[in-house]
Amino acid sequence: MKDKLQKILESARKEIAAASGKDYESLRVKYLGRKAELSLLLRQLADLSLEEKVELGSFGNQVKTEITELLEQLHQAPSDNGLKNFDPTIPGLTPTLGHLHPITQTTYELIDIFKGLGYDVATGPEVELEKYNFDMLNIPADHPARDEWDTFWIKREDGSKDNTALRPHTSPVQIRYMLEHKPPIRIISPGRTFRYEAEDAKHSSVFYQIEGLFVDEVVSVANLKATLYTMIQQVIGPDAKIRLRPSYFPFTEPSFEMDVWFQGKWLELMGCGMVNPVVLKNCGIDPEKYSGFAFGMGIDRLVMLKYNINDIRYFLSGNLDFLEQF
Amino acid sequence: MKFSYNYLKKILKFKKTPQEIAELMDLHITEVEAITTNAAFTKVVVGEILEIRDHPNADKLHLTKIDIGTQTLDIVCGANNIAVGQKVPVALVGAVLPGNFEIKEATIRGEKSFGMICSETELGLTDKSDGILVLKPSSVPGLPVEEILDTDTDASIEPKILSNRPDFMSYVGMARELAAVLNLDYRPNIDTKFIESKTKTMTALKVKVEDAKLCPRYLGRVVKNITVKPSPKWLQDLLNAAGLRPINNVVDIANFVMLELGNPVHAFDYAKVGDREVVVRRARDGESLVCLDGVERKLDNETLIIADSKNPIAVAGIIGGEESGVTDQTHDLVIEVAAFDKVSIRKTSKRLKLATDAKFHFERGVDPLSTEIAMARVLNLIQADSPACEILAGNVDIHGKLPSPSSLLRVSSEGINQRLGVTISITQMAGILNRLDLPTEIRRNDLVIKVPSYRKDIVGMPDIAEEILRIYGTDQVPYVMPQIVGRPFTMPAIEALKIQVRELMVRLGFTEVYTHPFDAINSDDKTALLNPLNEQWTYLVDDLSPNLQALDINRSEYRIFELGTIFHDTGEVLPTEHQQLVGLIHAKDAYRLARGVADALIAKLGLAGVWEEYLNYSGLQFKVDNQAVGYVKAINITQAEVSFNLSRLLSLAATAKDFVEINKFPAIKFDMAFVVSPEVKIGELQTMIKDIDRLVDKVELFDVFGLPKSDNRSVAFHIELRASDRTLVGAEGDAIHTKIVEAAKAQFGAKLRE
Repeated sequence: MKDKLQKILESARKEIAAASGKDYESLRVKYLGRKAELSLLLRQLADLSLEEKVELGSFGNQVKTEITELLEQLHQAPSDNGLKNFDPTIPGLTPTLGHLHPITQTTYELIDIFKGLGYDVATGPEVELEKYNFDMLNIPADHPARDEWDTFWIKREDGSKDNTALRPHTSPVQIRYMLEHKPPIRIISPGRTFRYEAEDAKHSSVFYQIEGLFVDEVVSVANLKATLYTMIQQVIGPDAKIRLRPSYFPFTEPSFEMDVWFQGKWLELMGCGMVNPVVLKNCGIDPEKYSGFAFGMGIDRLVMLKYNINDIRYFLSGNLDFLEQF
Repeated sequence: MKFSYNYLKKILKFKKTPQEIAELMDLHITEVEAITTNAAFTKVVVGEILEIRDHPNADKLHLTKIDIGTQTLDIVCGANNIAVGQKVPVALVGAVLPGNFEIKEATIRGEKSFGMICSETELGLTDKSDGILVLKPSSVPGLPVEEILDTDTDASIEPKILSNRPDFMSYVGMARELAAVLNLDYRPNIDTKFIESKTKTMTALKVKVEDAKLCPRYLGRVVKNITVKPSPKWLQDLLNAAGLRPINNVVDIANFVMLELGNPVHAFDYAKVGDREVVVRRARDGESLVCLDGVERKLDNETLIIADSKNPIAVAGIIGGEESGVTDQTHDLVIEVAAFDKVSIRKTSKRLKLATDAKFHFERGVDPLSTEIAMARVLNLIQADSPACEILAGNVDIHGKLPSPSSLLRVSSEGINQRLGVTISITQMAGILNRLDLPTEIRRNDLVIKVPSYRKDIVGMPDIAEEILRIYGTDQVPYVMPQIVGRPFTMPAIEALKIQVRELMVRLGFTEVYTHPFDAINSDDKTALLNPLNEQWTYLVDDLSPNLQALDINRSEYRIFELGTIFHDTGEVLPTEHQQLVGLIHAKDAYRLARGVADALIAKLGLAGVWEEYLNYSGLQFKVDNQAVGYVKAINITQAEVSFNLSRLLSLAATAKDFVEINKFPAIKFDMAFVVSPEVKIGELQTMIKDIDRLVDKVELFDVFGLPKSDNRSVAFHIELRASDRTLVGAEGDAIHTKIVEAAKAQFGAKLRE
């Protein structure tokens, strides 16, 4: 029996040495399969005396181990299917990869964050009525923002100034939403906004904002602070810090600028505040019963901070070297 | 407006540094837009020379030991006028001296030196100096040197003036705010005393206000026997710190009062005011004025001016005339302190493209009640400067109904705490308001506040809450997430579709671009801007394609898309806004790629429609229910476009999808190549094959090329036949093959290539 085992081993050594990777399966079946000679022999061990069992059993296992190892080596060896002189360092071929605009990406990221905080998304038109752009937001008739030097107005057919304009902020969406919905209101509204402004590295006549509005019974500055802090932590990281500084917007009272601590300094990121009761009243919401907070942030500005972009004009340039980085 | 740090410090007597004051302004008052120091003395302290030894390796250098109060430093010094016991300015390691010269730890010829003993030149105090600066013997080692030196060292702090808070655009106003923040006791101490002559101003000056709406109050006063000369140094320094150029004592006093109290003041040369008459009126068309800056400006009926009996002598509230200005030759003055309509001032300034400091104050609003004090202050300062002058008695004062000096406001302290999310005691609230010069009494749980007329911004509880909060500190407000009742997320359907389409386009290898939504292409239903930034941006786009095609992209192959708003004027109040997708492909086979992208979108969005002829374009348009919702078109041989109007297909896109059972039976596959003449439409040939038998499962074009010696093309298809319920037999395949050959010949004149 020992001879038989020895013969199997030698035959296996020879055959495996001559074989290639594709022969692995057939050789495995031949030498190690259930019906293989080796398996049959090893099964017969049970019928032998104890001494023989010990001696032959151990030898049989050695044979099995060696064949297994040899087969394993064969299996691992590179096959010769056209890869003989293969050069693994050859540079890759990238399939055409599409990129979302960085402002789109950040907008979606913000939507996701606020979705998690229970906010809905609301949108409105880009050409907007004067009463939604200004009047109902408590922006007085003589406010500089209403001049032709700050806002793009639409021209009537007779050449005169129409009472519609490209929205200078996303805040009119608040008005439209409050006119149609009862509190509790929780919305964010991302969108394109416009300002009559000569363009340079820091200024663009077309920019992007995201607006937030929260109206419910008993809403406080503490709620606003926590909400913005939570949002900024998600955007910048758990170590983010924020602070509120006094400011003025006609549609909020008190009003603040929110700064974030970023790369070693405070940077102004958004305007925010408690919704001015006049605005609630304008929209048919009882300011005695309800209060709210609102905030508005330049998405372009956030993207510029996040990636250290130094020129706002890249966003509308169609420059693929720029866009493909995101 | 720029504030001099030194002057604020003089008024309020605080100990804080310019940076600390700027930070407090930022956090409690308003944003600080800029802070500039005109001499940097940080880390320069008084030191006492304890010991002087010769430097072992250099003849001209000395080794000194200097006591700077907290420790003793070794400093190498090259000056010869040093002596033990002298008090000297020492720049410590880390100090930055004028010229951006930073002091570092140094080894000079083998000896360590931990600072520098400074000369006046090194401190930027003089252009030239001889040796180090020796300070008064009484100077205490360790004190910042700026406290010892009487220098021009100052910082100017420029805060953003909030449009509802013109009241802090003056030293008195800003001091009031800072005093509240620093909890200092501050009462403005403005000397307004002066001695009048017996002659009345009325007898020497007539004032007529023709447009009372644009000029709610006008005060005029005549001062005689003035000596015009340069103003004293303190005044010049103060104006310089505020960024104003010193001119002469009269103009400088006028500017000083503007800085101090916030009231712009103008002085005319009395001799140049024709007929001793001042008329506040709108300019007449054709009038013009040579202004103080030497520029002649055309005036119009929208412009409020100050005129004499005949001609303009100033643009009201913005700039004076050159002719009537105060010069060395001036002996007598007309002083003007007025209130003008802020909107009119702003618009005139924009029209004239002229921004002056006076305009800056007037366009934010000047309280008509404040004019009397300002006038008195000007006269006080003029008399102090020119004691020989004669101030005629009384103002000529033209005004309509004046506002009441204050009004009462009653608010609930609980309401304030609720709005802020804090618990501030009512006494603390009243304390803060009183510090802000808003006299407040406590009645039960309410605050009763006497709001002065210059605080037009305070009308209700939220305004009081803001006043309390900003002094109390926003950092004291806790973070409390609002409690909400959950509900499903909603988003406008078009926004959800946009997200889906953007995602698909990116998966198809397109990069998203944004372009300006403006162009110069006129057509009937376009929306025009009243005030475009330039001629190329006159209209709102009604198609994204032209701007996309105009992008300058320096690549041989690319795929870009934009998804944005297009505008159509339909005669309604607002233009119709639709969301359009345009994909632009630059590649070999661009048209086929565009069509493939369109088909992929159609399949993914579940649109049921047909491709139809697209008149006047090399392309096809896609119609659903006979409504065009998209197109593909070739721009040239390597450029093509795919476009969909998402707003139109919004209601058409399928919302539900049904799984289609996977066919488990094998297909019969074969290829067929035909020779066709140029007028044969490959799409139609493909459709014919597809429709020839219900067993035809797939018809895929895999090769097209022009044949030599003719315009004919070779067109090759992969064809797959399949039944859903059985395996096909060869004869079925042969039969269909034959049917295709015959139909191709009959309908398209196409010949099978063997």
